Formats: sequence, structure tokens, C-alpha cells
Amino acid sequence: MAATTANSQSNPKEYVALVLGWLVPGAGHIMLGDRKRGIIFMVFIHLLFFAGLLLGGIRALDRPRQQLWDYAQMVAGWPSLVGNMVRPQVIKEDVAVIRKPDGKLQKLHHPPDFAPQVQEVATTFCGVAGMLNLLVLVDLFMWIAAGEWAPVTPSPGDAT
Amino acid sequence: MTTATPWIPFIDPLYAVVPHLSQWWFLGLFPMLVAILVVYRTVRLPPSSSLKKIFISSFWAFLICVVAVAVICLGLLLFYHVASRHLSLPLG
Repeated sequence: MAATTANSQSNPKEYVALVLGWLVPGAGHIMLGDRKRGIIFMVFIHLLFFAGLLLGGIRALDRPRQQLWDYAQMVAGWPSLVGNMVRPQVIKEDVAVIRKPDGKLQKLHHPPDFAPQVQEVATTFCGVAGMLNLLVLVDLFMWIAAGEWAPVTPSPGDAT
Repeated sequence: MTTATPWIPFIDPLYAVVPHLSQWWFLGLFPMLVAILVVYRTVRLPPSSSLKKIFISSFWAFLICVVAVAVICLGLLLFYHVASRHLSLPLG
């Protein structure tokens, strides 16, 4: 952070990097030359998001029932956008019909093998991935707004 | 009668293979904590920091979090034990 506001002229490339950083977590940093940190962000945010999908399946992205989580997940960029496009194709009608002990049929809004805890953890994974990408975007924006974008130039005080 | 949906990897990937996963859901919090701490420490440290420094810093932060949670959990367990057994408070 030793750099000063020498480069205060805004560059369109930096704002393209912000949009790219939203679409592909970490790509904004990579585009502006901070490859090392960009790769860390990319790997960990994608891992977290796909760990959520591995745990809870495509139901981890549950826009109709968990709208607030959906907003958080949308910040993770392309995985959420693609997942929300794929979900209606995979799950046509997310209901199940069971026969109760008294013989009546009951319509459930979750499949019989639905595990609430696992689903919640999965949804949280994807939501937290989105929130982490927001943190990364704020980091990118702070650098750009301060005109300090020279991340590949180490300063002597940062070496330790 | 139950109209169970067939297992499709994209819908029930891990839970269908490991049905008792729901009893161990809290283990999922550890990888989430690791990801949060690595991203957080990477944002906080200067861009010129080495990878080694980032991961060591994240590791220490992870240890601190785990120890803090363990201490809080043990304290709560002790509190519930004393309160319910010795003070006869209705804590279930």
C-alpha cells in the first residue's frame, strides 16, 4: 500500500476488470496483473461454490424458496447464472406425493429424501462464495478508485 | 406409497451416496471456514505478499477460530451441565 495516488486517471480496462471479476471470481485481479491473488480467489471461491453443489445438488440454488440466499449467490457470477438457468431444466416439478397413515395423499414441496441440514449447508456454501466474491470485488474497486493499481510492484516494507 | 425420484447425480450428488451425511453436516463448516479465511487474509495482506505468507496467516487464523469455538462449546457444555444437574435450572 506504499503507492500513492499517482495514477488517478480512470482507465476503462479497470472497470471491465470489475465486471469480469463479478462474472468469473478472481478474473478481475488476473486481468489487471495481480495473477497470484487472482488465482487464489478464483480457486477458493469456485471450490466453495462447487462444494455447495456437490453437497446439495442443484437444489442448493433455490431461487423460489430462498430468495435472499439467491441474491448472495448471484454475486458469485457465472456458476450461479448457469445454475439458475439449468435448474428449471433438471427439476421440472420439485414435489413428491406420499400416502399418509390414514390413507390420504399428501403433496410435499420437497422430495422424500430431502435432508434439511445438508441442503442448508449447501445453500450457505454457495451464498458465502458469492459474499466472498463481493469482498474480492470491493478489494478490486478500492485499488482502482485509489489509483493505486500497481499490485505486481512489491514495496520494501511488504517483503517481510 | 412414495413417488421417490430416481437418483440423478446432478440433483443428489453426495447425499444420495452418503445418506448419513446429514448427521455430519457440521463438518462442512470447516472447508467453508478455510475458504473464508484464505480469501479474507489474501484481501487483507498486501498484494506483494508471498503465497507462503498468505497460507501461514490463514492457517493461524483457522487455528484461532477452531480453538475459540472449542473453548466456547466446552464452556457452554459445562454451563448446561452445572445449571441442569447442580442448580436444577430447567434447561432441558
